Amino acid sequence: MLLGASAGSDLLRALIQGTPAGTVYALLALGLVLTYKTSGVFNLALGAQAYVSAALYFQARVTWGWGIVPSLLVSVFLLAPAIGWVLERFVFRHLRTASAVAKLVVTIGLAVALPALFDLVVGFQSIAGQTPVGIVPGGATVFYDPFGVYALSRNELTAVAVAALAMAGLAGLFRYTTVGLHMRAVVESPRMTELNGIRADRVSSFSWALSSFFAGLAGVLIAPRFNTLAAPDFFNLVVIAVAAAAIGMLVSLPRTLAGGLGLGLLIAVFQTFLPRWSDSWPWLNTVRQNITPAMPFVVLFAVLVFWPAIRRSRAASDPLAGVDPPPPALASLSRSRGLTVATRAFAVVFLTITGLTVFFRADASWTFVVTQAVILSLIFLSITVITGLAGEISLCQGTFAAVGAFASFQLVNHMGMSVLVAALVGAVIASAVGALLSLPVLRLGGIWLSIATLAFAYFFDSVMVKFSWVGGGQKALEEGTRLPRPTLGPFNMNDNRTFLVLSIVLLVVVAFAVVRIREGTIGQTLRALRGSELGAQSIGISPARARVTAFAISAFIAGLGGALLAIHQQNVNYSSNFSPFASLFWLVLVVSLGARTVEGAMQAGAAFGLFDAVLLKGAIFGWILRSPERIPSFFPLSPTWTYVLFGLGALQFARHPEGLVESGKRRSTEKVEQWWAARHQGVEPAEQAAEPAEPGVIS
Amino acid sequence: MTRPHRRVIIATAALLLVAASCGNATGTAGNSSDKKVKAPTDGGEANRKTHKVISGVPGVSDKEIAYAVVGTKQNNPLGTCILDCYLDGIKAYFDYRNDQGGIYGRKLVVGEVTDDQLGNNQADALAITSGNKAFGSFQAGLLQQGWGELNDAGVPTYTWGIDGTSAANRDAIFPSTVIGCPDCTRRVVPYVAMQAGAKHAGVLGYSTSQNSQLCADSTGASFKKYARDTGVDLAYLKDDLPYGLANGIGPEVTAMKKKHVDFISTCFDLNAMKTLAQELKRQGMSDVRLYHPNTYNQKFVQDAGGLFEGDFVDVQFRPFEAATNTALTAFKKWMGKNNSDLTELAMVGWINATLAYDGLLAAGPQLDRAKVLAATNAMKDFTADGLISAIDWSTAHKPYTQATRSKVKDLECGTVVEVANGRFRQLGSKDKPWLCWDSTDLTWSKPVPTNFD
Repeated sequence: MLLGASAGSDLLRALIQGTPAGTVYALLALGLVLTYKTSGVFNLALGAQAYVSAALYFQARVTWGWGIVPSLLVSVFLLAPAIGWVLERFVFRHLRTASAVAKLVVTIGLAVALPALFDLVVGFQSIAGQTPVGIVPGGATVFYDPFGVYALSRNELTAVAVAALAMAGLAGLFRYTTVGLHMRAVVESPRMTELNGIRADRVSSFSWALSSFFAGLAGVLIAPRFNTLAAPDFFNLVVIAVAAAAIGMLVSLPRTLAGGLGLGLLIAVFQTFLPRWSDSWPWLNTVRQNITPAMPFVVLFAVLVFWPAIRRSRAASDPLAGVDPPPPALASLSRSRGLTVATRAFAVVFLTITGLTVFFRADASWTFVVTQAVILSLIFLSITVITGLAGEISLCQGTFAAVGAFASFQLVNHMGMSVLVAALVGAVIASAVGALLSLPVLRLGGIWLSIATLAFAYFFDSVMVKFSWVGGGQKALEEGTRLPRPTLGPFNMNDNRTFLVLSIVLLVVVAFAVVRIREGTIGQTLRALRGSELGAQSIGISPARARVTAFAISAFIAGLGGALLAIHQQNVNYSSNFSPFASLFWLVLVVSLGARTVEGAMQAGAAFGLFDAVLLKGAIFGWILRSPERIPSFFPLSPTWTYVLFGLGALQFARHPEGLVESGKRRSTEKVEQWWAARHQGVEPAEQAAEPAEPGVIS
Repeated sequence: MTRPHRRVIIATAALLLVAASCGNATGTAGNSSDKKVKAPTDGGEANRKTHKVISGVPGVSDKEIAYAVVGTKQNNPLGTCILDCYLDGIKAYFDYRNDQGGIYGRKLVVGEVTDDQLGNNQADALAITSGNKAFGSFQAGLLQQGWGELNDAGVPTYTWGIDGTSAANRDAIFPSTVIGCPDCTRRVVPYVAMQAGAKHAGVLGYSTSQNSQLCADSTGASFKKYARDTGVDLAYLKDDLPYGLANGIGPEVTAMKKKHVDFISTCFDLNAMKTLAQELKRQGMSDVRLYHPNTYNQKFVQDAGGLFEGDFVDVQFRPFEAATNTALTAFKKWMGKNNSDLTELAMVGWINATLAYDGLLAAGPQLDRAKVLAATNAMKDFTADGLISAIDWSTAHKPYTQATRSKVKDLECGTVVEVANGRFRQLGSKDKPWLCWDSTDLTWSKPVPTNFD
């Protein structure tokens, strides 16, 4: 029999086991929906906000020795709402007219920056053996078993009770209070609400503070489930909350609540029954081993792709979707010929000097780091294609890169293929995966497309990598995922300098291809689609084909870069190179600096590869002062600063959607042109650079 | 032919030409195997004070022999003390030897200390190979991306025994514990289960860590293989748990309860052991005895407030609770002089430093890296003066499998402590703390209590 005699009690046990986690997922999901409903921001930083409160509570209780009440007051009742209020007041209030996707990018930047900033400011560091504590004494050691089936700890019961109370309070707030009424009114129509004399800003601030309070509360309640406090765990939580929020279509609080609770229960039920079912059907064993941790992502992906109502919600939540004005022309296209020649000459001289210095003066360590930066630049060009050209936010570029790397590993190790040929084949496979992925998700568009790619990245991370035909399985466990360097005719790439030259050549080829794509038919098609999808369709452009092409090209570039990175490191090193969190940071970095231009991708690559080595470790001071011994003693700075600076850099995205580099270039071009015109009176200034894009334009 | 078509054809032809000339590089210019020399014969204690002028050897001056130390400090997801604790052990050993006059008229010194911040191990390793400041390297990074570079450059590299894969087939890499056969059965865990009077064993491991999964699988295979002899069968095996146990471990404990599991061996970190012990308590299974691989941390066990009472803890070296010997006495003395805590990682640092010193001593006064490697790899019975079970470095770099292990002459040893009243207590003889079996005979037998002094 499928479930056996004790199936009933097993099911009851699974439901009890899943309830505490489910209620906390629901709480976080409610925070997500609350923010989205009242401000149109899909706040992926909610997990980071939950982490900050949980970490402060933990720090106060364990390190500073505070009592439960003051710790809770400071971390949940003061800090959490304060963070929400600050974010609304100083960041999102100014982005009201920005597109949903632009706001999403800003929240991703915050998700990267907030935990890092907190850790630096408070000096928080998780310590082995110090597990997070709950909000009641004896929370982890006292158990209650009301049904005689499964005992719940005092922590878990408290979590369920507090979460239920908070949700009831929220329902009461909406239903019975003036503030709740105002909040609902703002959701309905902010302008109409303001016409009635209600300050929509204040209501929005309150909503942010409230959702942040929910996040903080959820963080503190769920923290005892973790062995140690780590920000990535909380980001995973928010992905689960996104799945719950998707079930609620981002608007329905009751359905969101049911979604969160349901996910908690579903995970527990699968964990209970899959092992039993796999005894009867061995093929399920593979599924059991891989699917359980991926359940929320499978649900999220399924909801997004197979629930048509989600697609309809796009128009409702983003009325301007599809009618974005075209992005402004690039600064390089609007400056005078003389300045263009001078700029390019400077770039050639600068790159030549830098290249020669690296080639002839740098030791193996610096050559390695520079090569890594070159390869990352190549990978980042994939973001230039998908985000800069197609205007879509893909959160799985790291996954495409991993596909290229793993495919190369498999081809070299199982078919004895030459590693460079394998890298090319790997890129083609990544391209095919990108095209296949785009087929179900391309109809979603906007934030849903981004979320679907995020779900795919997590699915790959928790399921696909485990398969031997992807990650290498048992053989890889025993021998690693090693890759050799190539030889090319007489050149042996074991020599780091020779490999650097190969990487630069490939970067130049791909960069040239991206420029050609941007200026060619594909680029024009994508630009037309971004201007007006309907308009583009009316002149015979197929949006589906264009987007599939963009995904395929982008995945090809990422796959090629991923394979190259693995060859460079002579190992795939999946977890340190290609995790879903890496994809997020890559995106933040590239859009901060400039997603539309090749220079933006290169500068992002240089920043990612060299920021820590050159600036944070103080090497630049060693070069300037001509001795490493003279580097000031406060170096090296924590590598965490990289996350803080570039995460916060993403805040500029909505204001400067073209990126900081392109924005700076435009401003400096204008100044130089004006200066030049002033010096040569009578000569008209060159054609003025186009006005910066309106906030919210995705570039 | 149109212009675009011509371009495509030219590009394809160029690509095919490139593809035809492609191959895979084997070895590197600096591969340590290319520089093999015969084991020196002028080493030994008699020549320890002989000073000879050495030039052109990285890290060696007239007064010093310098080593680089790389380990993980920042971004350590485990939250454990790695780099600092490891460094404590190395420094203590160097102080101990320098107090005796050093070696070949030179002091042993720790040169550059680098925090690899989890992800920079490869670049940091290259900084060592390309620099001229370190004779050898000590490595305690959580990710071992740079070991290949160090090996290829022939830099004597002493590491913690975290990852057999990264050390395999690399004859310049010397881990404190050799994982020569990751999938081999071992008798020590079934033996301890039998001693504990267990009948049904459970085994748990992570899917996210290759070491953990392999460890769980091989432990499961060990229980199966010796079930008839020990009377302990393998009732439950799960090797695919997510790292950190973020979803808890309730269903797994429930499943084990149903199968009457009374002994659980895991391949978890110490944080997860706490989660497991709490879940066992919740489900009324507090009397189940656990076998911990990574919990040799007195403070952690004491702070857990009786959660681990009666459990067993695997120790990678002569436990502090065993009868002391010269090396253990020296370790405690010199760690005490530096006001350093007696930690597992400090002991690993001390053991690594012992091998570095023994390698220098065996290489003779006219030393270089190749000689030290050759001399070290000729050692057939390295025990760090009785702190670890014997390692034969002439064979230890080459991994083997369960299928081929009968051809490898090796000892299968383990040393275990038990938690009693919150403190560790040596299991078995204090004077002979290791339980050893002959690895060429895989039939069940009683272990031989062994001392490696």
